[in-house]
Amino acid sequence: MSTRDELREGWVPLVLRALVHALAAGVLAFPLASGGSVTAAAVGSGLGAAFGPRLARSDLRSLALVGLGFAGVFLAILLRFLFVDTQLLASSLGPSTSLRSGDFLFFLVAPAAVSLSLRALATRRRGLQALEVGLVGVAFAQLVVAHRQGAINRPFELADPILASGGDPTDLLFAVGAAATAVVVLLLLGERSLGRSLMHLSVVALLLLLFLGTSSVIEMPEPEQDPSGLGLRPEEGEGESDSEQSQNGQGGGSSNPEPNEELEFQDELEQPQSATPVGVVVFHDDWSPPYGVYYLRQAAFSQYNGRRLVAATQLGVDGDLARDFPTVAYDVAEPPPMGSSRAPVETTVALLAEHTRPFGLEAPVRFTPARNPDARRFRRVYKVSSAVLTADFSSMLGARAGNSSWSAEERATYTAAPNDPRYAELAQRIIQEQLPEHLREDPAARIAAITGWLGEHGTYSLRSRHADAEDPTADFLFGDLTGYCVHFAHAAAYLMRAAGLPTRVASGYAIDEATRQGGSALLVTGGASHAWPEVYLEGFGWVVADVTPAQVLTPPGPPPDADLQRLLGELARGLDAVPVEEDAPISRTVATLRDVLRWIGWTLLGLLAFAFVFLVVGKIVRRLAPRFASKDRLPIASYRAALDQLGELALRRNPGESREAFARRVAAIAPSFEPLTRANVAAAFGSRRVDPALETFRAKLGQELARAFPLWRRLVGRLAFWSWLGSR
Amino acid sequence: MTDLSSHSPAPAHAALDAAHHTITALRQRVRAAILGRDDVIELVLVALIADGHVLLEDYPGSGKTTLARALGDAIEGVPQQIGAVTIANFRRVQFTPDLLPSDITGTNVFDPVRGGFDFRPGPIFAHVLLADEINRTSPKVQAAMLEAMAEKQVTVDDRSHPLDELFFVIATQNPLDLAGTYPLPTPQLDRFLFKIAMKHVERDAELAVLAHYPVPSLERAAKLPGVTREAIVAARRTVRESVFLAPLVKEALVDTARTLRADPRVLQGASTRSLVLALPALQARALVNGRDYVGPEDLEHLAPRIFPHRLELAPGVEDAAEVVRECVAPQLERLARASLRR
Repeated sequence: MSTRDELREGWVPLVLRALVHALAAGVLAFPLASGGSVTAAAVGSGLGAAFGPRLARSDLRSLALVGLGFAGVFLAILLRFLFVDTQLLASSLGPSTSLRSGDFLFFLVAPAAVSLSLRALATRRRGLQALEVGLVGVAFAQLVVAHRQGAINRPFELADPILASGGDPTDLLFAVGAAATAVVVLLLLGERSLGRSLMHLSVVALLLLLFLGTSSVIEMPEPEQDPSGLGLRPEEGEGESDSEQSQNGQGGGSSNPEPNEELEFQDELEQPQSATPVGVVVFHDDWSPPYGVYYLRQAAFSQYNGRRLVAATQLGVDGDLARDFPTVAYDVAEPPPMGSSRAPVETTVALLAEHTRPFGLEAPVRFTPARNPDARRFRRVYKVSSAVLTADFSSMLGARAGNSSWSAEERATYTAAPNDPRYAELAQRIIQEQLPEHLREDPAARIAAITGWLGEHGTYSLRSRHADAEDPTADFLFGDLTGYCVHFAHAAAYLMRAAGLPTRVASGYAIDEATRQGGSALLVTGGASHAWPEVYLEGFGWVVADVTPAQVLTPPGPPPDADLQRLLGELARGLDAVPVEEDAPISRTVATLRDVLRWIGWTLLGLLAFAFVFLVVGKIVRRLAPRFASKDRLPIASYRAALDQLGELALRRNPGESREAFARRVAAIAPSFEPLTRANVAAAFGSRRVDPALETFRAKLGQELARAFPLWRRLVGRLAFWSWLGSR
Repeated sequence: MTDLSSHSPAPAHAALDAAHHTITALRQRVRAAILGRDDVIELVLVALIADGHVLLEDYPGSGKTTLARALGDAIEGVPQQIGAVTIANFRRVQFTPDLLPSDITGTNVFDPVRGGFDFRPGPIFAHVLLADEINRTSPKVQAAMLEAMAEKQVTVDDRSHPLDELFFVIATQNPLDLAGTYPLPTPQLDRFLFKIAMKHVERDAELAVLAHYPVPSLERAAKLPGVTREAIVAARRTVRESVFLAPLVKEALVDTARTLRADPRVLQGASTRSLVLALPALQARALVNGRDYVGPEDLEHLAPRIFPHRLELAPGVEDAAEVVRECVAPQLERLARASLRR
């Protein structure tokens, strides 16, 4: 370029280019950043693009411009690091503000630097506009990919209305990208020289072909397929028990009253009122529990080990518990006595999360494997026959505690309690206070007294301060009486054991009857996990003796989604609950438009591909032509091949410059070009002397160029398939 | 003009080689005398071979006389005899305001012995004539001089005396000292093939001139072989007949002239005669550079020498050569492209 002033251009293309840059930067940032940062990226990029031409007119060398771009990006990274990753600013600004401002600065500075440098370079060397087009293309392609992958800030605003009307948002995204690219291409075509425009087009074609080629080889990233289809199933690859923990946002150890192998006391149990479904129970028989809550038992803890209750290890103890998931139908070892007090209820349980053991309604007696109606959604499906309590509470009055067939050892297991005498004292006091004299020896009355007293005086809270105590239960019971279900269950169990009642703590899920909402399916969520005391009454089996605290500090979670409950229930039953999507009626105009757009796209692509092939073939043919040229054509063919060789290395005749003057100019680098020029001009203007050694001169020319230019420069020249368009 | 199909190449080659040999000898002689003036020497030679005349616009002491004398001295052989007149190799005329036409052309002198008038030839009867400061003399003398240049004859007292076929004028004028001069009008400038503005020589060339100080340059040149008048005349003929002038070049020449006439900066463009004169000049330059065809570079070089002094420029436009260069550029581009399109 002779003078930098030649680089001036009108303000319309300037503004247009700045807009395209801003749009591309915004689109690029869209899936990555928040609204403010996206705006910052757009503004920064637009400003950078607007000031690029001014920078191009400066005296800075082009290499310095490249460096400037990189330096800007580095600065942006540094700023972000300063704001986000160092204590210095983060502590004074606060985490949210520092994160936001770091993001904002990063997205302001980096696109500005890139646009500034790119625009300045493209102003100086028009060929680099191809890079800009590439950037715009990448920005939009990335938007589509991000959309498919479901990035955090994916363009819901664009996609949702279209999805709602039954269209495909990809088309719109492509259309926006195509429009922006078209603007850039038009700007490129605004070149005064047709040859250059063609060259630019072919570069764009190459980029596009590369993109299409790679994407067809590597393929567009597949959208993450949610195997459950409803986003309900937890991640694979975690430990079985851990998976339940992560459901509840717990992480780390078995620490909550989930149906686990152990129950532990924990301070500040942040048991979330998790609505994450872990399973669904489908009722085949209608049953309404007498106490208004469905208890789904998975495990029970009856052996006192000196500190707390653990799962019994003795043979025969807790024989009514499920052993394992059924591979064949099996009955529990010691089913509760079926009689007038209990009735069979058939249920099907479909698990969405992995469990260590099956759970079943209240007192499962038989587990039967069942066909999984939808393996993509359910991990396990099994049938449970339960012997549920139908007896009224009052009918239990007079029943004996414990099973008369138990050995003394078994009975001892169920009544073992801490040595602390306060339990017995408190139990006695409660019985004295709560019960009239004739009922004080009645087990059922005692149960009611103890649970009632605990409910009346206890406070339910997930935050407790008992875990560190030697006996957390004592700390709870004789302390502030504030805790969660594990505390209440243990307290009740110890008190009842102190009162001579065979008691254990069962764990599983407890769901309010109202949740069923009259349907036949019951959604089990992670938040419903629970622990409760159970007492054995002769003739009734293990009876739930849950405590209902009067004061509740932790509010109950929202009820589960009724639709989800119904849907999962239907799925578990094997019904195809999801309605078949009918082909959304797409209006004729949209369909036609889509066809036309597709046609235009393919035509353009075909043209570009044609241009590419034409250029490549043209280059090869012109280079090889001297070998096949007749004697008459040889001067022209040799000279043209030599011109192409020089053109690859950006040695080109200026407009108005004669061939001879050009040859003199080049002579310093390639003296062999002069005889070739002379031969060509002589042949063209009627000389009768033909130099027979033209091809040797061309060979020499190749050697001279090899000496004058580094290898990479020559290789790049060879690859520049469009270079021969500039040969004049 | 020659035509490829009807022309047998072999004799043409021989003639061309002979002509080229003549020119090379001339050039070497003049170059030996004048250092650092290769471009001017080439133009002067081109004009000589093209049968034109040159106007040198230069400062005193820049070697004009030496150039002309070296050229004249290079012509060797038996002095040419036209009738009673002997033609000198070289003559120099200093033009002054009081000069009369007869001082140049010669005059009839009464011979009392014979009882009749004898023609006493003036300095114009020479092969090479240096007309120094031609703008200093009266228009009458200028007219006589220019008539001689165009017609190659002088008329004294109703008798025409033909000049030698090889009559070559190198006129000079001082570009600065214009007081009391009679500037040549454009139609008269038209008779000069080139108007050459000489620039001061390069430092190295000037040093070389001083390095040769004790030996006069012309003496040094005289040691080199010269050429005969006949060789030069033959070279002139060969150039016209054997140097190929492609129709494309003629088109380019005509189009250049037309572009010049259409240019708003030009009030009066180049004449058709100037185009006719340009053709041998182009051919001559081709041969001077050892080519048997006229190429675009000949047009590129000669157009800014041939056209500028024939143009009447619009007020405010100074550089005629620049105007010509701009007008010839598109033609050169066309010629350059044409060389690949066949």
